[in-house]
Amino acid sequence: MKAKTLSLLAGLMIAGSGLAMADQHPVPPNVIAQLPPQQQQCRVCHQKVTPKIYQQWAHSRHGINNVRCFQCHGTFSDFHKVPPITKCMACHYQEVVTMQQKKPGAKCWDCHEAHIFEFHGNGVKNIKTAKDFNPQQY
Amino acid sequence: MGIGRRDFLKKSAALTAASLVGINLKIKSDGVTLGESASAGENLMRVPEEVKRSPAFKKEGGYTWVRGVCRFCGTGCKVWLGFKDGKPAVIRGEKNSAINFGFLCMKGMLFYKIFRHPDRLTQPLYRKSKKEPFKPISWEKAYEIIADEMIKAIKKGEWTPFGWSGIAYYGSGQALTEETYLFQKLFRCIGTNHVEGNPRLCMASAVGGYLTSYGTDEPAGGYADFDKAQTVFIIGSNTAECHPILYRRIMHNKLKNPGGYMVINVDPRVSPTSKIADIHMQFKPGTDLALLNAIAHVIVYEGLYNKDFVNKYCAFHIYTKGKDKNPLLGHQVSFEEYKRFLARYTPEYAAQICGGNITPDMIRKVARRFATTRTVSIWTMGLNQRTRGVWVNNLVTNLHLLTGNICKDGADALSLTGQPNACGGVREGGGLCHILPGHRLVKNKADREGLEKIWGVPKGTIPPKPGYHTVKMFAAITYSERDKKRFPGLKPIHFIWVEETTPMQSLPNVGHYRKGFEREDVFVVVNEIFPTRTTQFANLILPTPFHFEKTGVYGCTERRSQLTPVAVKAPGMCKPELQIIVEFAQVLAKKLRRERDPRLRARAHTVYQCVAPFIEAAKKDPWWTLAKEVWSEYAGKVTKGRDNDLSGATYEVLLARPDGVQWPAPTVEIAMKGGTLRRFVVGKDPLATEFVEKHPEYKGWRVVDYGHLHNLPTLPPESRARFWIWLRPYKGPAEPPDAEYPFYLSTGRVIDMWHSGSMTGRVPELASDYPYAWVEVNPKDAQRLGINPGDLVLVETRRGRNILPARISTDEGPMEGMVFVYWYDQEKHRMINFCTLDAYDPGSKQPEFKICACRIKKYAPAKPLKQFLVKLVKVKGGYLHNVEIDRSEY
Repeated sequence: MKAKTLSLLAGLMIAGSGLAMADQHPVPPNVIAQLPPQQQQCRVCHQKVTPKIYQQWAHSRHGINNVRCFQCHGTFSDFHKVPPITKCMACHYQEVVTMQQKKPGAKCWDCHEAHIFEFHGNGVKNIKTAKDFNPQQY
Repeated sequence: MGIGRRDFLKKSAALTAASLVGINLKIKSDGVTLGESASAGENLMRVPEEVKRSPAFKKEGGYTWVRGVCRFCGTGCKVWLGFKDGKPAVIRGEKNSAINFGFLCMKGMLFYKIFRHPDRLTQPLYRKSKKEPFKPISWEKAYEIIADEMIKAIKKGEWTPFGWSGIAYYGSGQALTEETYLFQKLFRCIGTNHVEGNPRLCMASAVGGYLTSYGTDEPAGGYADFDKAQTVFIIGSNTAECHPILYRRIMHNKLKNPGGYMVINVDPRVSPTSKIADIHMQFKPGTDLALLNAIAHVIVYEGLYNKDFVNKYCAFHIYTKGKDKNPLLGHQVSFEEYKRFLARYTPEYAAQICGGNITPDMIRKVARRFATTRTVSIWTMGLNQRTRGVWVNNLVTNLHLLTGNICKDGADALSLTGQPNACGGVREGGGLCHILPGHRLVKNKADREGLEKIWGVPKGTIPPKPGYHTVKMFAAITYSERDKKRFPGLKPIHFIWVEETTPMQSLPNVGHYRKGFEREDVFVVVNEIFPTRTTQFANLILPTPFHFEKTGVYGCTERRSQLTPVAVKAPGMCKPELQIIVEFAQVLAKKLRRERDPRLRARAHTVYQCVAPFIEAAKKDPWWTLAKEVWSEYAGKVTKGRDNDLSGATYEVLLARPDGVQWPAPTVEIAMKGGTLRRFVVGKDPLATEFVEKHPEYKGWRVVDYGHLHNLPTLPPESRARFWIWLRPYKGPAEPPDAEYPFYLSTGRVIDMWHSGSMTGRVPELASDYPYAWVEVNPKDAQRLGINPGDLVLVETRRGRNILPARISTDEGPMEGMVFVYWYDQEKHRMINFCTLDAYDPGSKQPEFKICACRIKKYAPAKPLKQFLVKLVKVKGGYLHNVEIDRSEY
């Protein structure tokens, strides 16, 4: 059983280790390089083009803790529209291993909705910004 | 012009094909190039047999894994480096680590990408004149040159109470403990205390703070306190970006207990750390001393202090210049005097000084919360990089001592270290001009003689006076009229060996100190893995291994030492620093033996003796055994019996444990359990227990301060074995804004980039997220000055100017009247240290990077900018840096 799981995992990791074909970002990198400063970062552009996804991420634990777009989706040389599950393993190795043992082929976001990754209802509602810290509140 | 879609597709295919054979890839602005790398079939693994037999090695999921520690901040996250087909291919966190619990930030998970980066330095490069191109030379030739130049510089200088005046070593909080230890040992044995390192720029004030408050360096608790705390008081720290994995832990606790866990962020800038803050105290830069004294005022005057703890375990001290001889000791005063001292620091008075959003009621609310809950305080450069850094460190610790928020679960005053080994290597390993390894002091005769005995070198080998601190050291290299006037009696330095750091980007007012490195009569040796703003001024560049390409220990913030074994073959002719030191010392000893000056000749044997125990290991196995033997000498002999006793933390223990060992760990049994989590607590800290056994007068005490400075026989009995609460008055910054330069300028880091960006700037993902630095401007100031987001802004101070794109956000950013710049950019016009101020704390000698006066104006409309990295380029006759060819970038 253990050997089976390990070989499954090995196959999974090969699939996500660069052998998996990278996707093309809809906007080529050289076009992005020509954008003015402050518009080249993924999250700046995606705030406008995919505002719902941006908001989901920004209020997630990943967003608060600065887990950025490229950590899952890669950058232009290695871009994945749907990230290989190996990307999750940098921080959640054991969880992915357990998941593959219990439900081979499952993805994290089958249960934890992508970009929100809510964990047993423990979400983040209120992200503080500068306007929340005015003197009147004290 | 950009490439067309067809070209893009072609190049994407090339990328995918290249990734199949494990080649590192680089994106250039004009397209894609393949980088030089290991050949497809080459096995890059180099794992010692002892590691293979240990729990730090395993095969799992088709990968081979080796366990070590991350090198991209002072947190100390434990990582597994994974190999696929003999090449580093992935990094993941260690789930069983009590530090990171498996989590990593983007720097930690991506650094495997630069092992075989084409810009890696792989051969010794030399040039006689800094105007010539570098030529590749052999290691033997390199040692000959260094020895000759070093002896020449010694002869140009003179013998002083701090040793030879003409030579210096400048190390790093990123060097391994073994490296710092052996480098400083070599330089002391050659006969100089000109031993410094970049931790002077990052945590010297914290050392001064702990030494004066506890009588011994380093914190009492650790990260575990975040989980038991009810309040986290963050001051002068952008934890979310600079210690992301610790911030994750705070966030985790906050989300688990939103109502019961309060996060207070104290910072003139609203940073990503504020996202989960309940209170953000925004005060004018440099007014922190007034704010902290006002919090103490409320605690004392409202009777919220812990009377038992204060009466039993604390004493009150003040330093009066002219009256007290030793600023570390000052003299004792009573609680009543302390109360009178605090009288003026009413919340109303402080709120007036602090400005920003600070109100008297806010101060009261925070003080009451601090006093009535278990509180952990954390801080970094915001407090340390101040001209009153030691004082402000004391004032934070004061709050903990007053409220008894120390030496118990969930309560500690914890100075977060920026670099992975500033604590372990430099603070403990003796990497500064005034300290020796094992928390010994240069000026203490018994400390010097004890060390000389362990080393087996003649008495009097170590010069009796401290050498020059960092700013003074670089002033002695520059040696201009300004420097001579600033430091009367300054003696010039003609030779410097820089290890694993880039002072020509990281020093404040760097434009001034570059003039010294440009001098033809200053010989500069640099150990590096990539070209930097410092190799640009080198005569000799020595290629060294990257992390995991050599073996050694890092000691992080919470007194925790962790081992990273060699696992990857270093490229080209790279040699580990330990081997370089051992081989070089033998060449130097031979040359010294032939000198006429008897003082130099006498040093020949000492220098040989310094490395003699390691010569065999350096020949046989420089990658593992050499490091192990150096560690055995350092931990086993030098720290034995000291307060940072690591003698139980052998390499075997460090390999076995998933999260290293916290000192004191005087036996293997204690070390195998992880060492000491809580210092000073009788029954929990073996040294505290032993201290009480030896001193029956403290029988029954729950905590005891055994710090050597607080137990001197000259002290009054009521000051001994107690923590000290210091009376420190408010003092503003060295250069506040004025009519000519009306803005505060402050600097800092972003999460993606590490320090000067020479490593992280070469990881494609990180480089594309933050290719260049920004100036953050408050929206109100931007509106007033007509600056739009992305516009190029001219930032000018009395020392230099930068042109940076503006970042304007209503969510985050500096307060009105303040700008904030990131310092990782290597592009000349975006290197903010041309502008920063080199005034320093008179106690810790740490410069005030965080505050100076500047003026800003719109320079040009927004335009696309490119990342810039210093690189070596092949030219006729050798190699030059790109910045030496394009003089506008020099």
